[in-house]
Amino acid sequence: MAEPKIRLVNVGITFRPRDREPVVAVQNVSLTVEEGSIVTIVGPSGCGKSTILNAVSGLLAPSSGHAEIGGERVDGVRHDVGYMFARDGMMPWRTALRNVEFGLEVRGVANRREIARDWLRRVGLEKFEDHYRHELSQGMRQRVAVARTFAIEPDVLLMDEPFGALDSQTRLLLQELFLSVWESTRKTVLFVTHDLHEAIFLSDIVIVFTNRPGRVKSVIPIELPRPRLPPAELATAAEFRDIYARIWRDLRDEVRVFE
Amino acid sequence: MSETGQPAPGPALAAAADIEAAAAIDPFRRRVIVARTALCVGVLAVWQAAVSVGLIDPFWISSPHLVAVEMWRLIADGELLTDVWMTVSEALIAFVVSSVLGVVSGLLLARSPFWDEVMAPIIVALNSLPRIALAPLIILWFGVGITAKVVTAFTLIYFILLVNTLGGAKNVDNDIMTIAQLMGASKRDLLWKVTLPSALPWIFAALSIALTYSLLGVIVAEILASNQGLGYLIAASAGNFNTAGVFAALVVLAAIAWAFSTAMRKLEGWLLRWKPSVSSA
Repeated sequence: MAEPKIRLVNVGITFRPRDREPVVAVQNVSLTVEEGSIVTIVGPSGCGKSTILNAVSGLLAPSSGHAEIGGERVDGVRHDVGYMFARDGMMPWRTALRNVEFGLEVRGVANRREIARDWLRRVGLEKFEDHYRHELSQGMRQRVAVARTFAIEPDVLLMDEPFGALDSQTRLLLQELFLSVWESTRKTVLFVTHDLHEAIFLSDIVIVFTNRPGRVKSVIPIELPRPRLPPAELATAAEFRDIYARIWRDLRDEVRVFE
Repeated sequence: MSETGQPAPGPALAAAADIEAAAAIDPFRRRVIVARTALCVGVLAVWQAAVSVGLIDPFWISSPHLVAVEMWRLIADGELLTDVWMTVSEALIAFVVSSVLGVVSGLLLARSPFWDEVMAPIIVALNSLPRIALAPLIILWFGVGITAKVVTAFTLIYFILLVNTLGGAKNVDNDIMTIAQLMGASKRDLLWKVTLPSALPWIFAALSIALTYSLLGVIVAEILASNQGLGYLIAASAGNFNTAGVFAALVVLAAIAWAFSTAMRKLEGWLLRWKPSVSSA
């Protein structure tokens, strides 16, 4: 039994905007992510999925409860987590290579150039290291983000719909790429998405959230063998469709409530 | 879909297109240059003709020929070089000092929401003041030397840089800031590696204007009180009814301003080479 790497204990987060009613984003959320596993939260939009990631990274202090990484209470912004958004967050004034180098640079890693080169190669961008952001396609920018995130070898990866802004074919490619990179590093990943395909393809466990305020509705283990089949092939497997139906049944009512 | 295939139209494609385009529009370029030259020569010819035919008294508008003669005299006796050196060095000192202070102040204000709030209306008030009107006062305080010129130009430039730097520093992309923080960037890293490069396009927009204004401030201060510099040359020539001298100084000023802005564009093109829209022309 692996150690829990990420733990949320009774986390509640309430936003109190000035001059408006407080909004309870998430309520009483407890979950664990075991070391070296991928756990994905799915839920209707606005259910506080991203808020959970912010609480783990320390960008946001929970109103109640707490988050732990490696048994240590999160208190302030963590520097040992990798974070990816739907937006690439590339620095337009740096080349692809220098973007990947950034994290290593601020950590004072001496051979950062080689490490960054190696990661660009692993995401298939070795020919584009001198390109600036505006010279890269959306998919390539997100590849740079993957390389940048893995290059600093974070203990924990927080992924906030990282492939959500890509067209569907590119998304399939990036999911496969991400998973193959993950296979070779086995980092602990907390992933957030509204794409059930993606959730099943990547995860060891899928957690369905309720509509706002977000709570854990169900925890569904994905017992598909690793390494996984490519997403397009996996989608036709019978086990996959069973799991999909199971998750959708739990999720459907929540999405409907939202409408 | 270009994901695994080609990048978005990048420099390689653009460069190839440029070469083709350059070959294709060559006649266009030639026509532009011919027209431009013809326009300038035409104006000079009409000017010269108006004086030569006796239409207008050269006392008022001089003539291209008289200006050329005067220019040659000023060059020959070394006066022009001294004046140019004086004006250019004053303008550059004012430009560098004021720009550095303006950028630093802008970055400091961006870090402190409190002081930003305190200063905002004051800066707006000072920035909308026609600050050139302070020149007589500045001369009263600092005399006829180089200090008065630098300070006059400073009042023109400083706020432009401050306001733009502040704007740029407050508009740093949130995602980039968050990612940089999570990756372990220190406050110093954030300033030098995120805020400053991100604000650079804003700063450069201000610097181009500032360069013109530094020349303006210095010239005005020289016209008001000085015994050297192109502003002094203009004032002294006008005082002696030497219109040719005034025009000669103006021609030299135009050349300096052009050189300044060309150098600035080159620097900008290089420093902002990552921006899709900036050409290095």
